[in-house]
Amino acid sequence: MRITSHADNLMTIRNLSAEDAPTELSRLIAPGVLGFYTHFEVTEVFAKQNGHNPAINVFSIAVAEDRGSEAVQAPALLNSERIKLKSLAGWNFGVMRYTQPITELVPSLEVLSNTGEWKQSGKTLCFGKVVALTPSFVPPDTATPVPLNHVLKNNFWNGSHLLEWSSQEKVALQPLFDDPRRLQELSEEVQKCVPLRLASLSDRLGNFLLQLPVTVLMSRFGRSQKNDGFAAKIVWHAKAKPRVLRANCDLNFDGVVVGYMSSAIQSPETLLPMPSNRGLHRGVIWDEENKIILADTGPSSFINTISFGINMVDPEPRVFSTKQKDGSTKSYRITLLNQPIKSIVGEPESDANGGWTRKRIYSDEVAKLTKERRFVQYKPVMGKQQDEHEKALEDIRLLINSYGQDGVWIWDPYLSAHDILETLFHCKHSGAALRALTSGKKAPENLSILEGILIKVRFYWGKLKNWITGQQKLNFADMQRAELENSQCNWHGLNLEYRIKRGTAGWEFHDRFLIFPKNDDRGALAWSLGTSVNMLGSAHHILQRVDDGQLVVDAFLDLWDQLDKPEHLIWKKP
Amino acid sequence: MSASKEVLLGVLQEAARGGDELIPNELIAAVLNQPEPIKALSDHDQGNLFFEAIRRQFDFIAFLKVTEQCPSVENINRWASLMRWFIRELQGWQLSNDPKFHKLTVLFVVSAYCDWNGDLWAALPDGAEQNNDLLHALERLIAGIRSNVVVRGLGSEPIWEREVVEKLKVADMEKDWLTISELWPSFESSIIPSVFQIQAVRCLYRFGFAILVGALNGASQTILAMQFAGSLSVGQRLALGIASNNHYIQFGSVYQTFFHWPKTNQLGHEEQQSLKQLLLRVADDQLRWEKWMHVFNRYPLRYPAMQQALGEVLAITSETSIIAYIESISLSTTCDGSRRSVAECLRAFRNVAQSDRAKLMWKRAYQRWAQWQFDLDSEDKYLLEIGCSELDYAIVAYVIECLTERERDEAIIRLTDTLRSVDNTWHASLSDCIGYWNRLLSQFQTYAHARQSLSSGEDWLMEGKYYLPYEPQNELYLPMMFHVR
Repeated sequence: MRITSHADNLMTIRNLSAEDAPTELSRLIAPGVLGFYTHFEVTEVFAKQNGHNPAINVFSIAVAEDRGSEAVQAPALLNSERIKLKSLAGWNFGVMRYTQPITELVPSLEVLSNTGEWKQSGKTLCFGKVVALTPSFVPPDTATPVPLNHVLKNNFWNGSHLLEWSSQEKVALQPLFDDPRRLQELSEEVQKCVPLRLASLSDRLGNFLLQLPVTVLMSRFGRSQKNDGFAAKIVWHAKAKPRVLRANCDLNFDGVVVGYMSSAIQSPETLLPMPSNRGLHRGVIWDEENKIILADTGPSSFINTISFGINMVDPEPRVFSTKQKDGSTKSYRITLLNQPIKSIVGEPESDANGGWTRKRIYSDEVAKLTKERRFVQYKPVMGKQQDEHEKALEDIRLLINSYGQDGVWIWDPYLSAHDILETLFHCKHSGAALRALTSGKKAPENLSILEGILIKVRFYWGKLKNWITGQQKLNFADMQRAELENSQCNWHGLNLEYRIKRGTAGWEFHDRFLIFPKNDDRGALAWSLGTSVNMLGSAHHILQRVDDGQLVVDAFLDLWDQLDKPEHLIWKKP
Repeated sequence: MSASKEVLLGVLQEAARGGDELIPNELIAAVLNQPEPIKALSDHDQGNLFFEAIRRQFDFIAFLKVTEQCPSVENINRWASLMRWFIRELQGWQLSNDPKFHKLTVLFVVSAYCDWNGDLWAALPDGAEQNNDLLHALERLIAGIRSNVVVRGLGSEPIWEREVVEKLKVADMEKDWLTISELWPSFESSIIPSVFQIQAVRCLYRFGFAILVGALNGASQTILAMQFAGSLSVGQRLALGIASNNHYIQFGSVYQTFFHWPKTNQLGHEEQQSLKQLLLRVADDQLRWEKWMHVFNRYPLRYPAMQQALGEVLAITSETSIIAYIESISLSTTCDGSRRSVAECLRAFRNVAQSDRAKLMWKRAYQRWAQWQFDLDSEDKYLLEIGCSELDYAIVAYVIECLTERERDEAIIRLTDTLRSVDNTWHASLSDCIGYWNRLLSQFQTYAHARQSLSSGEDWLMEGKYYLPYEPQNELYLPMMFHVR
């Protein structure tokens, strides 16, 4: 690897070649350049196949560290028992850890480059043919998390230089790529020993990483005291000899650079004046003498405003019960939350463009979100429709409790009292305005032939019984009221209005929606259910968020307001 | 002594000199109007009618209660005449003459009207202790009292209230003192003991203590135990707890004492001794002691006035009592929590305990502290600054009294080395890493303070300062790395 400097001080990096590597690596690990490394710690995740030797590298990382005069740590397995995956018979995995003197680093990497084998633990670890990747500098996680940090060690401060040798073919690890669940399972097991999230970086499987964390100084970019820019603070390591550094900081907002400053660091705190402080900033500390980065914040931001709400849990729960298809009764107990007390701490960022820029960015965000087509698909397996129905209902309840603080409306031509009990009654937000709109249509059911016959027999038997006893048949609204009243509910915190489209008022409707009217924190939201509530999960359908919830809200209100005569009201609480 | 109490004692002295009696006729007329006078006295409206009747005849007494202004000589004489009538009637009361308790009700309304926190009963002359008829009638009445908690009589019954009542009933049956103590604040304000009950308990305490103890031996409801205890002064109720074998009465006498006890007030010497005696009785029963510790020692901050007696008891009870004491404390990393209260308890313990017993306490505390590791097992909790613990005093004591100088020095070196290589250990996040640093630094405090205490004689509880394994003026690197404030 060579990091060269042009006349304009821009850093360029070219691929590490076998010839350059020893020299450049020796330069970087020299005391005082990036740190005062005395050892390197190796963590190997290896695989063994029954009857095969030697071990295959799954992932290995070496980290240069200052361990003073500490004796080297002999190789030790971190997992007491070999990791075995349920879905991969004949394989087992292990995690090995040990340290070596830093002087061993360059020779051992030479062996790796030349032979595709790593032998520092005393046993051979096979990589196959390795190719050096472009070296990089990995900043710590800030506003934008860096995926590589999932597999680096403690990259929390200045950042780390990273050298990487890729096992490009990865043939031996093919079973892990064939079924991602295997990798997930392995990753979870490995994390019990060491925080390496392998599954999140499957492209790095089979590779060898060398992490050179910058510890020669400690740095921090923060707002200046007068809030007129940024301040770069640095503290040198006790053993370091201070040298000339440069702090660079750029500020990006809405895709353009709105501030930039570069300044020599001559004191523990260097001011980088900036006219504006909106957007994401990125601070870099550049070592003039060694032509390397010593710190990079990555895109970062400061918290200006925090909005939070405090909900009081209502000690009184809502209880009710519903009749199940098999005739049994299912009881529910919903813990209710009172309306939150909202608070905002801090001053919101001002928009010098009269708020227009903020509005446009918000619109862009909405447009971006609408392209994401967030949806859930339900594909019930024959015989397990009820399970899938329950799962779909749980999803609906989750949405209701996530967004229903200021109201939840269900719009479904086949909606029934039973459906309302299974959905809106589960709303935990006490007093939230719940609305239900139906056409009173008989809900289609996904029945077997035998179930269909049984229902018809029951229907005609009921008619016959009514004829014999002279009882009048209850109409739809009466039956709805009866079911709600018989739900043994205490009505606590319930604010529900249930209307029906009947007669000439309004218009016929066919689509089904779950709607959340807008509130102070967000715009209106709506989900297309894709089927009636009664059929959720029972047959194939897609639950999908609607692009513009407000349009659905407007349409709902248009119809709701027209259905305002007494004959349209089925039931209301309180 | 308050001015009103002084007046009361003067009235009783005057009454003892002999003279006329003044009968509370209006009160007697009001009480005779009621077929069940004890029940009527328990009723808020009816009871007020009784007190209104006596107030009309002796309004200066109510005025004294409010203003603390001394009544006129004439009124003092009238009051003394009333007291002469009261004392004679009390001493001569016969069940056969008062089968419906009309007279007894009148007497207890008079005593309640003239009483200041039980001062009247304590100052009454001897005599009534000879009245077995009176004492046994009161015994039967008290032994027959039962409480029944019902959820709101009007309107729909809130589910949560019904569940809380049920929970209390179950806890009461199982003598689950912890649950009872957690539920008690929900009930306490709505429970108003009857005037008759309070006066009967005070009367029996004054004239028939053994009979009172016997009457309460069958008590099996915490609510009643709290009410009985609440009828008596702190010293009296602790004495009752010592004399009684009833677990409800014993728990009620202590819990009722400390439930409302001002945090800055201390118990008097006699009260301390009574509490100690009562705690010693409980400590004889290991299971009961554990239950008590879960109530009174989970958050010692709630019971500061209890600490000295508790410490002295721990110095002489069994080893298992010490274990229960240590295990019952809810450990937290806050430096403003219960650590001062625990230190107060352990100072009292240390003053009395033999050396081997003290070491036993320190070792048990260290075991718990070392296992706890400043909430290491709590996944969602990060230690973002140096933490303390309720056991700090005991841990410093352990380092001083159970470790050799060499062991102390080695521990400090080990911690210092580990602190300097925190970044060589893998951490899942920066918060984890900072938490680890602060956990080590928190452990470091106790060892460093022990060394400081040994050299300077400072108190074993570290307060208002921190120890750092580096010179803060010269070391800036580590503080920036670990966000040291």
